[in-house]
Amino acid sequence: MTTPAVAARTVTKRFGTITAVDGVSVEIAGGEFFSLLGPSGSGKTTMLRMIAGFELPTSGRIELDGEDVTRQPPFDRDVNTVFQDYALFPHMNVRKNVEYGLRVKGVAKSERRERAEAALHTVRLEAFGERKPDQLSGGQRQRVALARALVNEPKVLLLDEPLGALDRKLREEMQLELARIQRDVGITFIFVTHDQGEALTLSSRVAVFNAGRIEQVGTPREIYEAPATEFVASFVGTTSVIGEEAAAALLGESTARVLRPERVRMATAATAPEGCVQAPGTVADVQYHGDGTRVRVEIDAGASLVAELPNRHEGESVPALGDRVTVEFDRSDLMTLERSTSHDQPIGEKP
Amino acid sequence: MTEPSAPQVHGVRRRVARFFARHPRAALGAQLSAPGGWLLIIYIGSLAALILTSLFRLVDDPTGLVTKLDTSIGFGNFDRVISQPVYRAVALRTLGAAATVTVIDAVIALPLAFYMGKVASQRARRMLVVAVTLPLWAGYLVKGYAWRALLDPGGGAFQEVFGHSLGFGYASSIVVLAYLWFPFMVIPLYAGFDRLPDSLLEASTDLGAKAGRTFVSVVVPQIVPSLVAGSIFTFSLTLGDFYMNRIVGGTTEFIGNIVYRQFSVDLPFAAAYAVIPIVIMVGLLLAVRRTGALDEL
Repeated sequence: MTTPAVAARTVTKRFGTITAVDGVSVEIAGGEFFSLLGPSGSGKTTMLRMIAGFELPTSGRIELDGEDVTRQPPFDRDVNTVFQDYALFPHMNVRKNVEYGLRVKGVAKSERRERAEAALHTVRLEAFGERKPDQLSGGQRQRVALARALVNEPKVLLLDEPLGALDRKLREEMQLELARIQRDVGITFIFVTHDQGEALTLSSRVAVFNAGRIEQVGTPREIYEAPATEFVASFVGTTSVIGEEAAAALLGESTARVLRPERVRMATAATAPEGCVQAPGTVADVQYHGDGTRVRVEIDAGASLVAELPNRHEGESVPALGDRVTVEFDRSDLMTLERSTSHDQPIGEKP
Repeated sequence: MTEPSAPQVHGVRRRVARFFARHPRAALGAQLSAPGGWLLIIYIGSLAALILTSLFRLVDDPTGLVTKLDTSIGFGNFDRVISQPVYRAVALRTLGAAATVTVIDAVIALPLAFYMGKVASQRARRMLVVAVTLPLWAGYLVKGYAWRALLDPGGGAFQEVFGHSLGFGYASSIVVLAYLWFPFMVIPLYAGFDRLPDSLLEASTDLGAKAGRTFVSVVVPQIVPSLVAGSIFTFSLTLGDFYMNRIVGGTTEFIGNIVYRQFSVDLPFAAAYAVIPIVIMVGLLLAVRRTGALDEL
């Protein structure tokens, strides 16, 4: 394998008695769109801040292009950050904000102008150069922050929940925009988010964080379709867990299995077709959400299965609370977890 | 009805409430009448009286034994203030003291306020705020005489311990006034630094700027409004002070000392001389406003 653009080697960060990042090792290749996904407090932002140089790891190493930068201050690292609150300088106009990094490095005025123009063009804000940050909308500020980082042509761009403050529609637009920009400039993006949909949509690979450790690293498809742990299975999308006892009764094997709601349907035939499993139960919850209806069924075998039923036909009967129903799923859609949590078998090598 | 008076009271209150609800301008006027009246009569009124008095003059009775107030308007007092070198010198000395005190306070307060607002732990912050404001709890005179005891060249603490003292004079006045008004500089600066988001400093560092560059390009522009606010306090407080001179200033006189002395001798002249700090402050505020620093206060 070629030298990774960014590598963390058994990195640990403690704040007093709290361990924010616990022996994390990960390698990120050049040109990747790599997401750090996890709930708040899972250590993903601390990890990003260590790569940026704002936090010093308690132990372990951070490498950029194979070079140990653990103790390098942020201003010496060829890495730029897009902050969650954008952190635009309020007393400078958009152009001055974008030029700041170049000005600090002593780039000549004409070249500075030119590159700032190009960066503003990339984020489609050419006409806004003379505006002050407080005269821009949230989405525009976000793009200025992006341009201000990109203009320096860093090896790696770090994005700390950059879309967190935007409303849903703008968020989706900016996701497309981000993906386009990343393709155009070809810089490695490391993207912190707690939004699993965002991570799956944008990333070439995702690292799922929980309690300071990485639970799983993989492509969005691997993360979603073959979650390694129960945490990943439940955090990325909704899953139903069929415990060992229920699995023994229902499937004839005593291994815990998990199942995605969109793979569960209402049984139409009286007996299970080839390769399918049928489970009778009682409807415990019904949630209508526009494009589908989510039904939770307490099956008699002793598990709670969630079924995602598409709202396709008008007048199609949707089960009501307390109804007796039979749900059905393909045996091949059952997923097996490698382990319950990463804490039994950590990914990072032990120091 | 069991209680005939109640609906009556209710009715009157209701009518009043309805009147104000329909006439929002009248409601606003009623609300502002008390503070507005206070501002107009006590504040503007006294200022107007001061300026009017400064335009009068004292004339000797033909007997030469009594002086009378001549209430015809004239600028004779201001002529004296400007043309007599003594008065000009005192005005300039006061101005110099105000500027020096402001600079001393700013230079000491900037790093301290930065530490308080950006570096110190929450606990240390609270303790520092208390420590900085603690002297405000002691009386002006107490602090003045405490400094007198420190500075006394004939056996004061500095003389005894270091073998040298500033003694009583202009320099001592400046030192003591800088001490007195220090909290008024630190607190606005601390508030300014506290408001300054960490992410701005991080963004600057992230974009390649070292500490000095970040301070000049990001911190200072953000902190200017706080610095201006603090400076207005230290400057105007020094400009108006006169008693600290009498305690530690030796024979040094500020504008206030002249006003105080002339007050009982020549009231119109004292009034004219008191107009000088007002003019200076108005001029200063206008100049500051031009820079735009007041917009963000």
